[in-house]
Amino acid sequence: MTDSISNNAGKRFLINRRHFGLLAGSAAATLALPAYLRAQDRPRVVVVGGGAGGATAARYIAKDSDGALDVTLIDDSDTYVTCFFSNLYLGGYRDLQSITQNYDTLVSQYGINKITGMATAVDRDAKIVRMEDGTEVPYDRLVIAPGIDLIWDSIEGYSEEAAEQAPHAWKGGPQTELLRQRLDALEDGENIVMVTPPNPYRCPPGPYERVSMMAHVLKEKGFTDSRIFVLDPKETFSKQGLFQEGWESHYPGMVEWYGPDVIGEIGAVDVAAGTVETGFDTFSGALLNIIPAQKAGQIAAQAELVNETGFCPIDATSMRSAVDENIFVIGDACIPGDMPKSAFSANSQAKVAALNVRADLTDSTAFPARYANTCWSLIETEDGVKVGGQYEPVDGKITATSTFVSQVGEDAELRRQTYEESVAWYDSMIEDTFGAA
Amino acid sequence: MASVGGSCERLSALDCRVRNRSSGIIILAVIAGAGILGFGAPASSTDDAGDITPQIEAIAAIDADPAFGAYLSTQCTACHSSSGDGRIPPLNGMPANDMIGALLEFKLGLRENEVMRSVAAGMADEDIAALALHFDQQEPNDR
Repeated sequence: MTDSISNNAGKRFLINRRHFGLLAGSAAATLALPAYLRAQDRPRVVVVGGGAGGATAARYIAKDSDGALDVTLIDDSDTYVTCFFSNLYLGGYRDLQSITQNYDTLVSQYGINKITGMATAVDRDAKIVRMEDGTEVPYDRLVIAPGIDLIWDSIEGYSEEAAEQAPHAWKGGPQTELLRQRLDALEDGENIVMVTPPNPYRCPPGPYERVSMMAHVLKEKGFTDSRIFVLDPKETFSKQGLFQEGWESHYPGMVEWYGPDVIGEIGAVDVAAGTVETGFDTFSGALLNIIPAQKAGQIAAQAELVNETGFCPIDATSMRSAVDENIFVIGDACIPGDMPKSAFSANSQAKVAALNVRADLTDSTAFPARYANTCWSLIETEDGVKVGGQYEPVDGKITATSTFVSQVGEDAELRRQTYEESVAWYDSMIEDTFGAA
Repeated sequence: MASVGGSCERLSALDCRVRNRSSGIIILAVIAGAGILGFGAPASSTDDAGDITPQIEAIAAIDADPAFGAYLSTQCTACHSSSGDGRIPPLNGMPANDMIGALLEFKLGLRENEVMRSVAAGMADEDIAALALHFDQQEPNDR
């Protein structure tokens, strides 16, 4: 670790010297150059992935470098349906538009170049991102934030095609809408079977908040005979006591959670028949919500930034890839030590990466890394809970320095305040990530 | 330039004094007061047991680095928006002493909110001073 720090410091010095003539002219002088010249002369930062991590990184790099860096954001969509709060859409607390964001402000106010297309490969030697259409996008520093990919064959019988019948809805967008449609179409007495993913995966409390939101919908419809079976490969899960307390008090008899000590291994899924086999029994439902195991987004593997876990090791002091000093990996695709894979974590990591990208390419300072996360979950109307912490690099790993979690038995007023806090956070998070429209 | 060690000792002593008061009523009154006064209320308005004015002044006297404050502030803005129309208050333009007081109260457990207590728990005096300077210098609604 000491070696890598001193190498990075030495590299930074060299880069600063190389770009000194340009940067010494100040941002104002740089901006006075014709656009085509600026594009050629300014150091180029490319960000792949326009989610909570990538959009935040692009915004902070552009905002804080005052025009000294040429920032390009690549994402295959021109809108972004946030996975965070998509459970509240499922529960009927939010409409789809309220969780759909775009890149307009990043382009208009921060001068970011947005490329709408699929980045398929990175040539690390040539420092080029290759697009699906053959276009090449060169970079001096690359930020990779592709999120997760689903490991389809981690569950026998499940596939991308099967997801059209039995949605995973673990990426915001059409799958989110499909799950909502399927939920709304249920009749009283029809059951839901959810298969939750093994660790590590995006949004640890997410499956259990989703159970709560689905139960809320069934309860609102007055259903008394429908059940939600949760089949879990994990013996314990995030905020378990809080969720189970909430399920018993708000949805008595509706939610049945089974861990591996009861059901053994989860076997084959038959989406046409609506069944999930386990070592204990075969569960049937009119709605199957199958959330497979996960790995870093495909481009991270293509660029050989992943290790045997399927995720990307990073330097905890900077979010720099452990295998390529010109690349930073943030968000769900990285190995974040004690931090969970969450939008909040991605946003926090993006700021550390942005700081270090700027320190590499301009004369700004790389302060010691600090990270934070909070994950709020809604169990029932105005019954919000949260878990989170503060983190710093310790011995090469992002390490929790203080943590907190809501307690069972909290009064309704505190739970209402926690929910309201989450609503305020969503708006702030969007402003911080995509800029205020 | 305030000595870090000196300030920490004073904080610890205060913490002990508050926690060791024989009457829990005083502590509850301080917490309730902080809740009513809200995030931006000066902490010096609490009673003797919670009078942290000397600590606030010691931190306010630190020669803070605005660039460090700007960096630290990026971890605040995930929750604190520029408009702050909701349960989480805006921070831009908050007077430095108000922010120092609020963070000290969270750090000492005198103010309720588990997120903010966790945030403040690991903050050094220099962190608090730099953050307070940064937000004091921002125009309200800057982003």
